[in-house]
Amino acid sequence: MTKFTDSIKKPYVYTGGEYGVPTINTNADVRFCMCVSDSYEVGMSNLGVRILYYMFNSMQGVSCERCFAPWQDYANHLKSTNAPLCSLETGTPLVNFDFVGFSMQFEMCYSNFFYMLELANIPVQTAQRTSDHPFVVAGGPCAVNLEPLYKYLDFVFVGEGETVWTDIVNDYKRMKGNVDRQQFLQYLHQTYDCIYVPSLQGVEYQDGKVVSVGSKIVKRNVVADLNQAFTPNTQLVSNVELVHDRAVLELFRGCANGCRFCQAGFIYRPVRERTVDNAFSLCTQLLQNTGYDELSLNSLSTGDYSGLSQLLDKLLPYAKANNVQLNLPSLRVDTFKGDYASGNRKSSLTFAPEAGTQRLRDVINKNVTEEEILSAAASAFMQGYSSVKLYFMMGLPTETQEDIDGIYDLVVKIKSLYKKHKTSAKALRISVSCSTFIPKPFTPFQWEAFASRDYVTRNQRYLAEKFRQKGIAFSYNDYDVSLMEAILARGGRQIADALYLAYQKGSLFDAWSEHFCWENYRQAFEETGVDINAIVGKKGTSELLPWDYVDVGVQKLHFLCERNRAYALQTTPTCNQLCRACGLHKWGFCQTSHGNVSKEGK
Amino acid sequence: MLVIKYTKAYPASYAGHTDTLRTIGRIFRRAGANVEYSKGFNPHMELYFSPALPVGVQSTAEYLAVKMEMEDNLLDRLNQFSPNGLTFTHLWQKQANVSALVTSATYRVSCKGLSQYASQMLVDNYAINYEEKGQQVTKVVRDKIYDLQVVDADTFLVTLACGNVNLRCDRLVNHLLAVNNLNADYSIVKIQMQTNGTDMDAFLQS
Repeated sequence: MTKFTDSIKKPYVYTGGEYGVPTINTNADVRFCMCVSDSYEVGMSNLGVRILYYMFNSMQGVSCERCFAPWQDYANHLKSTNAPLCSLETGTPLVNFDFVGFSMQFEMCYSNFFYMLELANIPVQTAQRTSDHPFVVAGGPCAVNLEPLYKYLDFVFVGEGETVWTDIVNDYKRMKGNVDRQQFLQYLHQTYDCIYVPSLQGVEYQDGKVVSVGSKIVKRNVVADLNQAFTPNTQLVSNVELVHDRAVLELFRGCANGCRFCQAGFIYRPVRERTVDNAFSLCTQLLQNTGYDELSLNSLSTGDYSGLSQLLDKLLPYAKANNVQLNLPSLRVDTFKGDYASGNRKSSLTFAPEAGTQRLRDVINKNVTEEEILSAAASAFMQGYSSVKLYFMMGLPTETQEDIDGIYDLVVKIKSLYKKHKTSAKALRISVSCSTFIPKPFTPFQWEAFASRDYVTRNQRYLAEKFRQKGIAFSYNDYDVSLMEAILARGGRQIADALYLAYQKGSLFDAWSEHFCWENYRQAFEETGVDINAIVGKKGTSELLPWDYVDVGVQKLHFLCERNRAYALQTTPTCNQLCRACGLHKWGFCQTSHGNVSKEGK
Repeated sequence: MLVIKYTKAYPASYAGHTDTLRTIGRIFRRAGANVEYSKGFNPHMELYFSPALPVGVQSTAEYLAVKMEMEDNLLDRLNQFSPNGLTFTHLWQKQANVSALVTSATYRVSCKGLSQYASQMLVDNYAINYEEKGQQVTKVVRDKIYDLQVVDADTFLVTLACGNVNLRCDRLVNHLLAVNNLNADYSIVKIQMQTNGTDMDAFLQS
């Protein structure tokens, strides 16, 4: 075995045997292999995968194992020994499972999906699969538009998996052997609102444009109450360092803020909070069961949790007594209070003003003012913070030169605050990151154009030069990477062939900038006759969109209305201040869910 | 202060040294062992480990010192909360810094047909080639090879410098394989650590 460790860079990620792996029954009626088409370190950090993994393994007659995208050295090892890609738990070839499920977290991991299927000897196209093959399925945030992979996926689960998946697996257990592949897909198509079977949808394209999205409206599955939903009280603890190597508690799901650029803010609605007791109890169980000495309270906007100070009153003493470091990511500027972090190490603080001027922040509905940003920064500096990260976007709708300059001006103001308020002896470390805005499906900006190469690179250079002169670290995304993400997020069936072609040309691990190769994709689009501009360009509001078959709960009318408000520089208050009837209220969860009910006096 | 001996076998042996330190800290936390924390700005568990083991090398003789009082059933509790491959085997109540004490270690090398070439390492000024930080280097290591015992055609025991003066057994084995044009797979298990020629276990017992 030692030759193996000599030739493979990270041998441990292919062995399994982590602490906390449940007993796997290889004779289970239904065997599910949970895959993430990214590296082990990334995939193991995923919360959704963790929930479904433990949920499937808690079911009678069901077993669930894991598989992640191997690095090239291990893939070569598999090929040279003629071995297929196998699950980590029992080393079972993927092809022997009933379901091979991919959690699609990020568009840039699509090429690895092909890579894993081929390493597993599973035919890439659904049409080539037979009764000898597993169902290849996908879920996760990208499931709201997986049209670019329509001919490679047997079915797609849209929404949150805690409830309907158990029914599907039980149906399969019952029907296995009595129905063929097609009949089972037909059954799912007819039975479950949240299941999308691309081959049965009846989508039509003409000249690379969608003309019909079929008759079935696929409804995003939503869990009504997080306190009741299946939540594992432990995590697998790996022997190697993960990207998020800590205990993670999901404090609440959804976000009430309605920032117009943010897809997650719309596709995870409504807000569903855990009670303080439930959250605290899970935190202590997770820490006890995993042995982690770091805990992160996760959500889309942790500062908005209605019970935050109550929870911290319990959690901070517990953390202190047990030597646990507490992390509160995703704090909005307006909710940041320095005292949340007191007693912890003063590490770096991250603010995301997103845009440089108040006008543009109003357009995107990022409801923070410059005063709030500056006072939060001042309070952080007084608390002893000496390192600040600032996130902005470029290429936002209605953006002008003034907004670009506004980014620089705001950063300089924050920098000058440090001299006045600092309590730390260290010099201020300030880093500014400016990503390129991608208009994503299911946002009020879904009709907007992705910014042009000329515009983005010119302004990136402009800002980089200004920040360089001021000695401030400035980073930005490579245009090609953002463009690719925009194409994948907004594309429909017309790009499916090109994606596989680009994979054949060698594209892999596209989410890792050192591996991404735009040229493969550019050629693939050219060879398959894909008009990129039609995908990333501006869309008419009456135009049919490739993802229109999905109902995420928020209605198109609401997106249109929000779009008009954006142009009129009108901000929209949060859900819990004023319900704007986005559509989700009809599903009946909004008003029953803690944290979403109107707060008086606000 | 307690000194604990443990085994690092597959698959735990595939994890690197720092990863293993982190893993062991978590085992102590899961087991509810009352380990002291450092009093500094960034408190951490007071655990002290024997020298790093290269990735892929197994060991039945790893040691760690831990600042804590004796507790009931400690070894059982640690084992209950360990991932596959890590097993805690012995426990001593002793103030001892194993990392500073260790001077040599014995390894069992298993490799088809390698034993007949093992004696090559005993020639004067024996040097090996290996790669370090991307550079090919040649080093005389004869003074770090203390003992060799051939068990059978495929197995031998070798005692090498370990600690501040150190020779990596995997480098020695890879060199032997390369110069003799062998392409067999091999395994290395560290089976004993010594302090100035005394078995570490006996030293800790005394």
